[in-house]
Amino acid sequence: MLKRKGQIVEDVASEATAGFTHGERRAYRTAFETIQPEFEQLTELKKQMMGLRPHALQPGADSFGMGTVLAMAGVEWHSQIRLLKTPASEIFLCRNPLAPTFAVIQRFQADSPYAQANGNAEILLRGDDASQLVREFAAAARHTLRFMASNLVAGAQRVAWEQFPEQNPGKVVRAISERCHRLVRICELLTERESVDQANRHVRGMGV
Amino acid sequence: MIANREPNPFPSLAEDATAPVQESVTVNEAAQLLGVDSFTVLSLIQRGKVIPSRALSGEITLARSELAKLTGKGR
Repeated sequence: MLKRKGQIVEDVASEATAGFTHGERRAYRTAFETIQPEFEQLTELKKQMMGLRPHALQPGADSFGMGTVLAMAGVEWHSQIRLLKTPASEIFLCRNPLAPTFAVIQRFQADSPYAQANGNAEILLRGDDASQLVREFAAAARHTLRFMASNLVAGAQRVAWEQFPEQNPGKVVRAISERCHRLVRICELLTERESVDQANRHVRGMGV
Repeated sequence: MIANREPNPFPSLAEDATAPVQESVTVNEAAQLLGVDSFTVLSLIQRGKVIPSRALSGEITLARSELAKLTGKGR
């Protein structure tokens, strides 16, 4: 059951639809249910972004532990920190053991059509300043989360207007939009500072 | 109550029964076809790896020809 701050989702929805008529509430529920799986993904990604702290960092996934070597672009990159785990990939800060260079690398499921065409890992960012790389990654990830939230609202909007044109769909969509964007806003307020702190501590720990 | 009704910004969505065969897919569908997730598809769009379109509702869509670029079939 999806929870937010200890409340089950139904309570959050009740808060969002306070003052709604029965029909508007039904429209809200139906439209929100169509985006719920991705809303849950967004919630999980937000949680990870907010938890980017050294003591909270977990070893890599079972199939891809810390220190795993990824040979790419002529370099054997060693994973150092897992920055994010998405439903079908993992994103790591990696280090070149032979030179003071770092890379943010995304690893995909090897059997996916995308990985089979493009390789199972991709360098997203590369540079000699790990702190800066993590900061850039966090900014890009926040941007993607905002993009994701906007796209979810658009999906809900389509359902609300198609299925409930008589139930004040504009009002319904505004409530869903507020819920999606509030989720991302909270993330933005907290993550930037934490990402920088994390990178600084980690870089100090590596003696760079 | 007619007075409360807002103009439907997507009148064609429910009315167009003669829509052509689907030439584009949603982000979620693209993710399933590529074996990745929505976050990754949107990230690929932001990095300019693929050019998106928008449906009338504002939803991001990807033409199948664009999707083919990501699976090596459009090269």
